[in-house]
Amino acid sequence: MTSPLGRALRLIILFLLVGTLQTLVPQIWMPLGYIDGMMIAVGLVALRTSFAGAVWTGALGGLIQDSLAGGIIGLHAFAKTAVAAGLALLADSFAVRGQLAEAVIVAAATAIEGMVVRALLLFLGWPGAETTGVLITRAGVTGLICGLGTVGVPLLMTIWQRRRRRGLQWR
Amino acid sequence: MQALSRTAQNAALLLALLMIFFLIMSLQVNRGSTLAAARGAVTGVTSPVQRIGSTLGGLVTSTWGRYVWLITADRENEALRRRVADLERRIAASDAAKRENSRLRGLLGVHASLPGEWTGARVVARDFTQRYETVTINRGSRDGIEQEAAVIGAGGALVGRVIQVHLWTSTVQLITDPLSGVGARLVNSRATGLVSGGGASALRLSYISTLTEVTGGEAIVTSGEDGIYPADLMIGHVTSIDVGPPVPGTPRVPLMREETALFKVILLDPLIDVLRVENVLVQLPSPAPAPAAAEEQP
Repeated sequence: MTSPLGRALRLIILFLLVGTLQTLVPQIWMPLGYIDGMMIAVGLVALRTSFAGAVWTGALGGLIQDSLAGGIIGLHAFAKTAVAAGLALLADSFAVRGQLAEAVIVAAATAIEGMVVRALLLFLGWPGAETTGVLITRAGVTGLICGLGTVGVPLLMTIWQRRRRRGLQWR
Repeated sequence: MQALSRTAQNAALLLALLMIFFLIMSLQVNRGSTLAAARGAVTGVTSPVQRIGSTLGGLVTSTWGRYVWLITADRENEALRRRVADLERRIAASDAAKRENSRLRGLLGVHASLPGEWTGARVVARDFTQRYETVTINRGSRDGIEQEAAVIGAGGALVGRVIQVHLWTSTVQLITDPLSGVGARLVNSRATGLVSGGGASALRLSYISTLTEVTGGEAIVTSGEDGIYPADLMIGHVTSIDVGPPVPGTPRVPLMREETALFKVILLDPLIDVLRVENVLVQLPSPAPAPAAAEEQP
């Protein structure tokens, strides 16, 4: 499925899975709720696609998050669309190479998205704007998880493959 | 020229989407509409997955717990370790069963003393944005749940109200949510006010006159005057009492004399930690009154 509709369907399924997973992880351990999995998914897709693709990705991810969150619809959609557009511009203007760089960018994007949401809530006069501490914690934890995922997993794979090769040579 | 046109198209797309989202948000804030149909479509797809995921999550947690426990017990010899593992597992299972039993007994006891019909439910998911303080329970419209139904926990403590009902699940707004408001009454003075959430398990009681005598630790119950919650459900206990600004909602002026204040600002502790509640009771709609016998017979 390489048509635009096929890509959109794949993104919807991905975001629904990420969103559902995020509603479940705080059940296992409350601090896991600080990981913004939807921002990781949106950010990584936005860095790899065109500007228009990134904008639609942000809108889709944000709308699904809003629908699952039970708050104002459009809040995360607005923030994620704006942040995804920024990420696409960044990827267009600079060569974002390496998974560590992507992890740092996604962590920064999480903090910016949190600030946009906070600004919107304050502007609309809606209570529940989160504190700076929560914003920093969420960005830090998301960046850490994203970094561990993008750097740690390939590193573990390399170590495992080396050991396997050595094991084969010994035999 | 072509590149410029593409840039203009991209900018127009971004601006259009942002404007649409802003408009949707403004409509909801001004008119209180929550776009229930759009939300229902998404939760209709995700709620079965959430239910299955919740069960699997419980299984993974318990399996992981057992695995960690077994690693620490590995220092002992094999026979002893097996015996201890078996005994520990039995004790843990028994303790868990006892706790579950006591919790359910508590709910059952409360259930019997409550007016109207109530049904038991389990929390299957929590709000992952950590902005709204809502939870999802495993009862929906097919179980007879309706919007605005009151939700209580062990000991009859108020947990919140149902704000969205789907086929299999419902979303409950906790009393600690910043948007939540509960009509409340002080038990001793019978003065009524409004309990609102402050996030992070903090509650605040407003509109209590400075002339009202309030004591620390005094119990606060629902007043029943808000038309949502039944009267006399326990909410929490007073933890601090302060004198508020002369007019509620305005900032305190340092030079303003405290005698001019009209209301007290009271902080309270909820009776139970609503963020960690697992089992709840949800109020069912009261059945329509039966028509009079005389009307039935011509």
